Amino acid sequence: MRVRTPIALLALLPILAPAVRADDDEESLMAFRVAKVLTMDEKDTVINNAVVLVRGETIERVGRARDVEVPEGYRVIEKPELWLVPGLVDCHNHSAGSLYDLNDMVYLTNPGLRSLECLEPDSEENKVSVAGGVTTVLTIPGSGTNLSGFGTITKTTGDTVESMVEKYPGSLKIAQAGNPEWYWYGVRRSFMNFNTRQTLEKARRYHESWKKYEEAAARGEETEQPAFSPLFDDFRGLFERQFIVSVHTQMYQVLMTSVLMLARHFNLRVVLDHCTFDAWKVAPIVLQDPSIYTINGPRQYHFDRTQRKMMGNAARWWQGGVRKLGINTDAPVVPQESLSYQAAMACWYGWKPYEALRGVTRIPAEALMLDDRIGSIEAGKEAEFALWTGNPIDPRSSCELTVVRGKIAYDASEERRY
Amino acid sequence: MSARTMISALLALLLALAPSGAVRTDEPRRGRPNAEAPAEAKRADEEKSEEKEDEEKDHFLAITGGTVHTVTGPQLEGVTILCKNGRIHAIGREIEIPEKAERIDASGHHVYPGLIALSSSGLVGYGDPEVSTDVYDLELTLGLAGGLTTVVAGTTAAKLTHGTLDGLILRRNLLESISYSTRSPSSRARFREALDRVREHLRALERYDDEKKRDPEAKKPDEKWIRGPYSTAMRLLKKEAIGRATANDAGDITALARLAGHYGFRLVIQGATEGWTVPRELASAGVAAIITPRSRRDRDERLVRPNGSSIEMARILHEHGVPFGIVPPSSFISTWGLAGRDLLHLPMEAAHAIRGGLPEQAALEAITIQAARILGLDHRIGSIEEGKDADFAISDGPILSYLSHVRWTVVNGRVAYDKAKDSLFDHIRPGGDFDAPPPPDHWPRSLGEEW
Amino acid sequence: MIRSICTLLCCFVLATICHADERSADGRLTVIRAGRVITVSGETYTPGMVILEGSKIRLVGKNLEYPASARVIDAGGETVMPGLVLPRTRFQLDSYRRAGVHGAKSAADEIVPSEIEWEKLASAGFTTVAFVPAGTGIPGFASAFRPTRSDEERLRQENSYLRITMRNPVQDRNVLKGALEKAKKEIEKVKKAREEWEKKQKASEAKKEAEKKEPPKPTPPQPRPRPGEFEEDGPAAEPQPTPEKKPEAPKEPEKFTPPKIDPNVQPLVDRLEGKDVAIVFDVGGASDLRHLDATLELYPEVTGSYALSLGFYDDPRPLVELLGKRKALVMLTPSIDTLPYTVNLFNLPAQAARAGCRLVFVPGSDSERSFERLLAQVADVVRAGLDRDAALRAMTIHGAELLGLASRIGSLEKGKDADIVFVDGDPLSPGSSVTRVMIDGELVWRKKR
Repeated sequence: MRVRTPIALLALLPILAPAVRADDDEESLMAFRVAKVLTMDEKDTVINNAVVLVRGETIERVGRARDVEVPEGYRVIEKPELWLVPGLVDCHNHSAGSLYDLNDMVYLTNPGLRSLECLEPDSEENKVSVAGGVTTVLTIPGSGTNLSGFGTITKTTGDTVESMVEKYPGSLKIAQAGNPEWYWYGVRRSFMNFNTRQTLEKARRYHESWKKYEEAAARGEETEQPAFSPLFDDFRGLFERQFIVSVHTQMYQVLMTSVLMLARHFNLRVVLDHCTFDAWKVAPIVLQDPSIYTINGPRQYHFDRTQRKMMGNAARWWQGGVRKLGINTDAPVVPQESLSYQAAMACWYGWKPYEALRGVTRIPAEALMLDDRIGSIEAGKEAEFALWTGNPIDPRSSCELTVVRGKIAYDASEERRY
Repeated sequence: MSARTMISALLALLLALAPSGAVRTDEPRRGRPNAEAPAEAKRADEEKSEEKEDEEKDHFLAITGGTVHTVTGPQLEGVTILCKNGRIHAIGREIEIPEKAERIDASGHHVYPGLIALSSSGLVGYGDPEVSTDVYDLELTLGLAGGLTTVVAGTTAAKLTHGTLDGLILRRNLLESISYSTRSPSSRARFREALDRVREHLRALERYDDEKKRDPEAKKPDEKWIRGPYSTAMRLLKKEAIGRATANDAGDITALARLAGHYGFRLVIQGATEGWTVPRELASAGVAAIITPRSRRDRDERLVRPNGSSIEMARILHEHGVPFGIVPPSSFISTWGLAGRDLLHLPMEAAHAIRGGLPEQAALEAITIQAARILGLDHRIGSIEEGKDADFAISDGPILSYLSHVRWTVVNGRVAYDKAKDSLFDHIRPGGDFDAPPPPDHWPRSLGEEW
Repeated sequence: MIRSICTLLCCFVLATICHADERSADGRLTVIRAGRVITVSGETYTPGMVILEGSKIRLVGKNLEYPASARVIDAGGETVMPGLVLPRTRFQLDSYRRAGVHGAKSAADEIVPSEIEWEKLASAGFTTVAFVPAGTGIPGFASAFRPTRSDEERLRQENSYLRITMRNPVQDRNVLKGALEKAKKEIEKVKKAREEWEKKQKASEAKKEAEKKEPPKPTPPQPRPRPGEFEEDGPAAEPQPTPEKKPEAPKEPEKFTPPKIDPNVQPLVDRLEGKDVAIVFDVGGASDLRHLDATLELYPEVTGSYALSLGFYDDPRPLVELLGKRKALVMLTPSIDTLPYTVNLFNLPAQAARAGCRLVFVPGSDSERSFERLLAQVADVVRAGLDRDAALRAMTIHGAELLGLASRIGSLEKGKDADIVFVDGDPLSPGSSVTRVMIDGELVWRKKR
């Protein structure tokens, strides 16, 4: 993966001061009157000529303009020509944090490392991301080693780490084959798989010993408290399926290993990242575990040298029956603001536009286990959406306004950033 | 054997044995370093394809149906485009199509002039494309699948003539590369000095022409020194070539624009990331830009002036009347890379310009007629007009849409790419069907049908 | 150089004739009785007979009568067919490569007969073997040899075909173009010199006319051999003797001596002047062929056969189409490869034959093993769809044609050289192998039992 030098960014850090901070304690009330709302809800509802009411951080009501009366006190944002679409979600991002601290390739597996500790609030990258309609990302460590630490689900806005973070740990990052092979001469798939498995076994044992202790304590029994380990403590939620494992995996042979090891053997909630080259051929195996999400990208195509064909990865996954299918960017490999363009490319290579839009909104929200809060426009969910001049997948459309946690995080009429 | 024949024979032998670098040129290699014989040579080059055809061998291609985007004129429905021997012969509703004509029924499709890649590598051969192009090459085919018909490779404009070398070269020695950056003041000074000296020389030549009328013995100014940067300067000032410079800083862009304005040569700036901050300077000097609307350059907060990249670049240049062409971030086509960044997706780069506010028509022009104008080849390519080259990209939807695929690409009046007949993309939405079954996978491996 | 080659060739021709005479003087006929006789050019006789007279084939048929004195070789159920032609090899030659234009060189220059294991060539059934000069551009002529037992008889034809490569157009186009331009200039040069000479001649005639009536001097005998004495590659660049054109001036002792021509472009000069010089163009993919055509655009006289060596990414289909249209003689390896970027197999030989090409088979490499495998490889290609007759011709008569020797070898026909291969079964059936090889009616190799 390509790492953009962030020297300039680092140098600028102290200078970057307040930006979009609305320090009002009282709940803000906003009403968005738009041409169309793509709710991306379970019923795939599309509302034309709609109003979305936002109270504080939450969507209060969504409906047709003639059905929803805007109550007193609401700031009405009149955008009758724009589409309102859920904020785009990316399951594979590196650019919300410092790129320098992404790949600490100390050991072949590095349990205990946290991407949380290298987040960069209000960076130029994040500012452009939000201008591309991308609101929530999973920032994960790089794929230089098999197990490079824990990812953080974060907003692309916020001027402090606290205000950014949505969920930590967001995921455990595992990388299989490819990049980790650079680690050292002689490190190949057999050893890497053994080593990763061994690390996970250790973590599981750690979790089980604590679980036993805690259960005993709950029953009032007194047992010996296991020793605390900073290496393995973050893993505990993983084995309880409270957060996911995001796996850097490509090519069908490697992807099979990912599924067999992580989903079957360790019973983890697996989100397959990249899934490129000819990985779509594993679709029948992936389908056996309904909790697996396949998040495709950033390559989007594979030149099939067995039949001289340009295959669209996403299209082939879809044709293979996989429906929990999303798109990622691996930002900055593909710039974060280009997430919608990645989806467009998936379509150019044969996928379907609506599915592609779902693949950058609700699907990744589900994959990140955040679908109760984001990923669709429904009353009660977080007010996190963007206003577009048209279909967000179309590269001709532009994002005009982005709302995150009920606040306007980007307004193109003030300064267009993308 | 006379000494002269011996020398010429030796020269011929030397030429024959010369390594690959010594590519064939239209001009003699020695003796006249600056003696471009442009008019004749170019014409000869350009007319070559036509000369070859005699009356009986006339080749016709008729494109019927389809929405015709002429680019320079109105959008036409229900017309026939009749091409004869590589040129557009007639456009109209009641055109008699010769019996032997090849036909494309473009109903339900959109007909555009062939797209132009203002910089490319790998689609045609390196050096002199005429001798180095593999006309059956995969990348060349991919270029055609992207709707490209003309590419600039090095300083040559070449057509993607799949399967034939006829009409491959559109024009040689189009461009002269200039390096004129604030980072190297000395080279800037040297280049200005070259321009001054050559301009002085051109004036001396004019004086000489006058003088010759009075005094036939008049001595012609020495031209031996015109080499290297002087040769570049000479070609620029005589308007035999277009200057091409890569510059992204507003400072460099402005300096280049002033230089071109001051000396009066044609210039195109490639990159021009901060061009949107100095559109007036570009416009007043008549300088063109080759831009990548999506390119990112973060704003330097220490600077007061507007800086960095802007998605609105294309719109701003357009509004100020700066001619510009659009190129994607990568100038080649890859079978390994990231989707949507290379020349296979040139229209998508234009779509990004629309995102930044550029009108659709202007975006289309930027990859067709404006690109042709920048190259000074708009009499041949870039729009659908009678007499122009029969180069078309015929797509199954508006070409600037992310869902459109090129169905046929026509180069010099011949079908160079047919999506349905080429394995590369024939499985993607054949006939516009979103639910078409996938191609069979060779997993487990099996032998193909073709035996 | 050329002179010496000619002398050599002359000796060789004489030598063969003498040998043949000796044997026929012996008066013995040899009769081969076989389970099957494949003539390649005509019928296949099952069973069949071949009657040899000395080194030549006298009769081929089914139940032929022959005198009791004839020597009989009973091949039992074996198949007899013409000796195989190996149209291109560098077997046991070093890796010396040339670049540039070397029309005066031939592979024979490189060959030290004692250093080549001729038996290995014979054992694979090859009775004619064309060694080629390696390199790019115009590396020189291929030379045809026969793997006979005795050294003197081996060289059959020094200048078989001129090899011209178009594998890397960036270099090869320039080399070929330069060579052709040079050749054209040389022709011009000779023409100009002749015109000048004629002018001078006329002037002197006029002078003589004026001087009048001198006793005629006898014309000194011409030191040069008559053109008929040589084969086509005699002293090249030989202009038509001019004195004949002017019978009115027989006394003229002065003879036109053409200016010297660069021997390296001599074959091209000959070709441009309409003489018969065989050329084989080495091309990779179809694009190379396009580049070759573009280079030869102004020289329609320069045509030839093609040797294909497709690159990994070269699509054979357009090449097949282009070559088929011109009914070309095409040298290629009998193998089935995948189409570029696919696992789909493509039977290039079958498709090329179907398109109209005449095939000449060449083994995949210059190894003994590869030679031995040739028959089996061809059998594979035939099983996969290549016409059987086309396959047999591709190993024999077409190869002979490529070398310009079709009148002498390549099929079992009356009057042709008795170059015969014995196979213990059908030559195109796996498991069959060569048992005996005969060159000029003499057994040169026999399989050890």
